[in-house]
Amino acid sequence: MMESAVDKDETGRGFAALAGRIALIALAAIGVLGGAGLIVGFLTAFSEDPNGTLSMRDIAILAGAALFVLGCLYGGWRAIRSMRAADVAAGVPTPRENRNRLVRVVAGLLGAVIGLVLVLHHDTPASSPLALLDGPLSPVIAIVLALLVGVLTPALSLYWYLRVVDEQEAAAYDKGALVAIHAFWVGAPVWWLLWRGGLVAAPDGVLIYVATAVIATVIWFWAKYR
Amino acid sequence: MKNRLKVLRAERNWSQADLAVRLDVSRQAVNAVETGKYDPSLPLAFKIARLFDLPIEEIFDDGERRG
Repeated sequence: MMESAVDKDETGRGFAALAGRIALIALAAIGVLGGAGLIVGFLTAFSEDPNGTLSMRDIAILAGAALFVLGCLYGGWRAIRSMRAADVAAGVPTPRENRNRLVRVVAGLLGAVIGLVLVLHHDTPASSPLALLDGPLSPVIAIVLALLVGVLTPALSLYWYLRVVDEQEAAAYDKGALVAIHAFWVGAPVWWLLWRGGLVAAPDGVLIYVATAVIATVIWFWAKYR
Repeated sequence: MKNRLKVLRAERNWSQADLAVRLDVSRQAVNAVETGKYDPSLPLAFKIARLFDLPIEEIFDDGERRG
């Protein structure tokens, strides 16, 4: 029997399928940044060595990294296309959803700019994607990134929260923030105390920040789309 | 909370998007209210009631009986 317009669930996506696509896009973005960082770091080290020549092994590593970046770009693009197709099949987005989408695109572009600046300007060879998060930066780049993260990001977030989302998404976001802040309030001192007892490594601020952000995002996503 | 939103929507042959546009919310919000995963705020409940020209208690049922 054909599904009528009334019966159709126009959220347009199974929770698991949507979560999978978003996870794929996030992994692809991390992969692109990590791979690009590796290439830039490798080439920077090579250009700074006056006697340096590229061996076959070096070329193979660079080619592998380039292929990896291209694969991540392709995978991310396929996931985005798949999300768009599911959304189109589900019906027409409302004006509020379109505004929400626009803000997410702007936020994504802002994240891409920040990521690219990190890849191109951090001072350590990018042996791993994590080096992008806590390696040294030049003062100018640090100030530019701090302004992007400290001024533009909160302005965009506030506009999104106060003017774009509806109350169901705001409630989902609040739930994510609440769980994340409690995870931080409990997790950080527990780690600190265990470190003082000599049982674990010293608390890592970057890891705590990333974990808090991931928890908030996962809970918000679950509460909105489940 | 149980509600008759889907029935009322069906009576008017509205899709979730149609109702979402009239309420100025997303399709996810309409779906979440219909399936009982999200209870609307009082302002949104009033908006829904006005849209269907019904008292709130004829749309939403909190399971409590009147004394």
